[in-house]
Amino acid sequence: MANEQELRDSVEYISASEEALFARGLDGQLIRATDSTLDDLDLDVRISIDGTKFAVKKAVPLRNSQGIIIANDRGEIIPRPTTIYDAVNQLYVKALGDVNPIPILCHREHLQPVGVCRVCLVEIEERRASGRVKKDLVSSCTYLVKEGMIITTSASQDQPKTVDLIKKSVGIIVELLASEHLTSQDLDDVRNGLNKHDPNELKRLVSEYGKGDKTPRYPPSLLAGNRGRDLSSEIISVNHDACILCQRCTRACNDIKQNDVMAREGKGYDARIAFDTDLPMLESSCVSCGECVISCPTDALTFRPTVVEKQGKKILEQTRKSSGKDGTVVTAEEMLEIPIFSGIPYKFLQFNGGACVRRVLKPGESLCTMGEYGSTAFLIQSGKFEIVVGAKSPNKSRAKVSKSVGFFRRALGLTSSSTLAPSLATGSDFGMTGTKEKLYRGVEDVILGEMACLNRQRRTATVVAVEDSEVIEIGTNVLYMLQRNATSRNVLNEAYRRHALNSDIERLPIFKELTPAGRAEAARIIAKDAELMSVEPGQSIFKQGEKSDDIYLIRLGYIKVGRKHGTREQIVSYVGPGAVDGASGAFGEIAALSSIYGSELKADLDQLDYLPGVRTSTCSALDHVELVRIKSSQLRQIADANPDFKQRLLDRARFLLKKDTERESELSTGKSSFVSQGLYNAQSLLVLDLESCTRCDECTKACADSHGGETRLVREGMRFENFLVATSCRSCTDPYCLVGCPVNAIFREGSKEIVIEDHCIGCGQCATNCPYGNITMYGHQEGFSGEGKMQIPLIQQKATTCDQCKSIGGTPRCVYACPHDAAFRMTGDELKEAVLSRKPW
Amino acid sequence: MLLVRKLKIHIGPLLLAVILVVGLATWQLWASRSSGTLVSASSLPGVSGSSLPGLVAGSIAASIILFELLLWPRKRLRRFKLFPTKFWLSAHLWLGLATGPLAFIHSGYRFGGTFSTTLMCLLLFVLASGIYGWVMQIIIPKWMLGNLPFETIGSQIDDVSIQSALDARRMLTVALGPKPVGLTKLANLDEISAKMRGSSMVRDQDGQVSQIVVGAIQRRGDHRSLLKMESAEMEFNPLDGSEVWRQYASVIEPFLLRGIPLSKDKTNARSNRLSPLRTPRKANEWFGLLRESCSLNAGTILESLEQLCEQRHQFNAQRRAQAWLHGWIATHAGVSVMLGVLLITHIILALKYV
Repeated sequence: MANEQELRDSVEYISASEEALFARGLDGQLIRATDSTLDDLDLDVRISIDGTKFAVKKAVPLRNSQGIIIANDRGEIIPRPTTIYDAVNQLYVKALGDVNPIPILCHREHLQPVGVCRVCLVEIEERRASGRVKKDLVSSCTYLVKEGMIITTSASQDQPKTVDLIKKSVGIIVELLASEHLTSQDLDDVRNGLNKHDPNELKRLVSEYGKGDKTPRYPPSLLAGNRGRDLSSEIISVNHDACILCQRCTRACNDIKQNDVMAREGKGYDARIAFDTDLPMLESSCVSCGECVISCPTDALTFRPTVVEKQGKKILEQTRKSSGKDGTVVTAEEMLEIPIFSGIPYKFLQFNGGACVRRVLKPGESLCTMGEYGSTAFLIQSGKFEIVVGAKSPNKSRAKVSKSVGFFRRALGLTSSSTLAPSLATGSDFGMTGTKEKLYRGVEDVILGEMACLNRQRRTATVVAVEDSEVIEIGTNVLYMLQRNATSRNVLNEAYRRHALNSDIERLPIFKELTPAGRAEAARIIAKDAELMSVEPGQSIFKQGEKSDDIYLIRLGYIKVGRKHGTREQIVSYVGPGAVDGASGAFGEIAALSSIYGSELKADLDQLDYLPGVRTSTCSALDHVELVRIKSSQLRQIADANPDFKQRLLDRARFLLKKDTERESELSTGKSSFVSQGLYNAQSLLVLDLESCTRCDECTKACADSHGGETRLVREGMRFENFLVATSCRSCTDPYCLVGCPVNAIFREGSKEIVIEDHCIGCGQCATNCPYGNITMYGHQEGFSGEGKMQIPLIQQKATTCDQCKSIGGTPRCVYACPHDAAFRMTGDELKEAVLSRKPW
Repeated sequence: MLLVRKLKIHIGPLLLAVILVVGLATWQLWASRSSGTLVSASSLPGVSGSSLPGLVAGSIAASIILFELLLWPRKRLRRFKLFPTKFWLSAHLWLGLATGPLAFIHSGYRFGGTFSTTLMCLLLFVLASGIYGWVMQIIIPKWMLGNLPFETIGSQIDDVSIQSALDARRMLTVALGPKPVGLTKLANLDEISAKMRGSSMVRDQDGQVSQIVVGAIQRRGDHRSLLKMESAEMEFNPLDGSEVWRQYASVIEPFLLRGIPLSKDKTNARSNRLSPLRTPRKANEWFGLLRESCSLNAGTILESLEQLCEQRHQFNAQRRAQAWLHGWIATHAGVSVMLGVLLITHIILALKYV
């Protein structure tokens, strides 16, 4: 138990004049809750939960809705205090299928807790600052753990009276909510036994915690049933009577999607959710992304039935088109029966009906092919798969289809997307010659192919069934939903980490001169303690002058290397995977190697006035970067067992130090713009040579003519010397636009082009994500709103981006139609070369 | 690399054109020497259009002229892959140039009667206009690249100008407060501004909802702004405020919105001709005087406004440049069609009466 002094130390005392708005009383003292510090992440708090002594960290890393740890600009993790709900989760939920015994309604793991519904009650026993021990019922989602706290949940076996008290209290809360917000039909449903997949969480709680006969004990207010509905939107219907004001929708809209449309309006019984300045939903700036609907625990926000039906049909059509006939659609109800999906909202699965496909494979059939892009992952249901790394597997089936199109149709550009688009994972392209190494995966590995979805890169292996197998193919949007739940996220992360480390370490250039046995041993040593790090754009990995001796291997993304000259930081270079000086595939080596071999390198270090183990530059992420952090001690361990490797490391350290001596700042406006505009990331820029371009707009007209009158390029953009980088999709190596699509309508499959399918709901998430403005929203008429003479054309917005004419045969018409040979498609590096050939930066 | 690529495009048609002209001229010379006769005293030794080399030269020239005319439908059929347009244009240029010499070979190096003279004159005019256009398309893009860094898409000049005016108003309102009452009225840009912002309910002129839009509406004009709004965070002298607003309302915004109209738009031509901002040099002088009458802090605001005016000057220059760049096409295409019609007539007459 904490003593009084410890408790007093844990709060910050303030004077009356400093009394803040959110100050609260603690035994007569005014206090302000202090922010968590980085030290709290390592500080143990001893508590007892349902009789089990347990230690949790005082703070946990702040995460975003996808479970990605958020860091500040300095690259430091932002801590947030551990709540009772977090602690109970840690104790009770360890594997898929485990359930946290605390009921929740307004809270969800991926949302910031607000504690408005008070359903997550637990009893706590804690010693207050006065020394008295006090018992209290508190909301676990907001109450923080404290040293010595005794927590009793409704799952306690030893405290039946307390459990009864908690259940009764929760029962009162949910019955009060039910009397006000459930209809008689809802209550009948509760009485008659709920449908297992009923999305109304309030009904479930009433069924579980309400009074035995389930008849309302409390009379509703006069306003109940008269709060009205907002049926103005064609996508979402709003029933204010069913709204319990849990704020899940507003947090989803504002915090997760950052649309900032929804808020709470009014006070007391008049309080309700509102759109913009309390406008009807249709007239507001709502983008109809559906995040509020899938977050709503009641029937207050629902998709219009016609929309669910229409959307389901479109997705099904798309799935059939891309998957062929070898899959059967898995329904929302079936999905929820699988433990890993149990945390996904029913409404989400319903809205994405047809997106998940059950696929049965025979031995020898391949699931996905190395080197191709993919937007689906595979949950293994049964069977065994061989992972083939290093096999070159040309897609024979695709080549065959292309040939069958015929010369004239191809010449006239009359091929359609369905004939030339690569198959999703048809297995007909199985080619195993040249196999170097084989790994096997089974049901225990849970998932395959998730790396390509989550890091948006090419598949790193070909996966082939070795026995009769069954998988469920899921889209990236379903994976994102799985990441919102800690348990399924842990399963995914573990699989990802295992696959990522296995696939990468052995192939690193730094180990290429080791013998195969030496490489395998090095991989074993590194994989044991190596940390897979994810760094978000703008965050620094390390700073110049810091003392640290880790070495980093870039898996994905690009980093910027900067060095301070006076007060100004100048970009020295930008580097990507395998593109670091000397192509070792690593960076941060000077500090690491000088730390290990300080004495051997003393002369070289003294010459540069460098200190061993001190960073000589600042490295920060330019985009989504994944790194493998290796401790210098691991490198030393490998080198100690292999003198040649040690000598190679020393040579490399000397080479890098020499290079550092010679290196002059290479900053120029050109390079700075090149980096800030993300051109290093571009795989297919539309570049116009302004010396030859006569501004005839044939490129734009050709684009519009080929795509139903909608141009996918704008002849405007950044200029580099005489080249204009037009506003048109660049097929980035790490496309931001693919992140967060709620219906998986934007993806790339097979080749590098980004494709947006017809089931796009026009929420504009991809357009917002694209930093270069290369996605345009166009309206398409989809029927009418209203009836009879009151019919008004209904325009459905859809995102449109350049697919480099993949859908019409594959030759970009903008380049094809340019009469002056002024339009080119090139990579960022090719552009750099072209610019450098005119004028060195 | 790009230069080599460009040469590759042109080398084929160029060689073909040279081979055709030199080959036919040689053939004709050889044919005339073999026959050893002069057709007439006024013509060079050789044969007329009805001789075999002449007929071949004429037929090839006619085929080329008809092929040249096909460039227009080729450009219209952009969505089809009918060989890259750059090859069509390259062939259009070099083979087109070859038609002149081929026509002369065909005519035995003389103009002939009224009809054939007219035909030849038209051909020469088409060639001249084409060469002029070619030269323009080589010179002007280079000039634009060097002199018009603010260049935008030609058809978007008005929209970008309106956006600039809206940006400037926003900057002045944030920095100096709202426009003082009693100054010159500003143009009503509310409707345009609302259109740029977009709305989920599109209304017609009577205010009735004409369309319902579902999904995210992309706001236009967000990507291009020259203004640095940090300047708006500085403190300004209230006297500067009224002076800058006054000058903005009466001089700067009208210029930003209208620029210097092309000759077609007579409405505002006079007022803009009198604008103190009508040339870059005059604008520079005018802003210098305005800067002197304001305090130092207003400098950043005035600098931004001056930059917007410079942008507008460049837009005006761009319009003129584009008129030079594309204006000749109408003449070239019109005369080419006439040439085509007369050519067909010539062929019919030749076949019927010779």
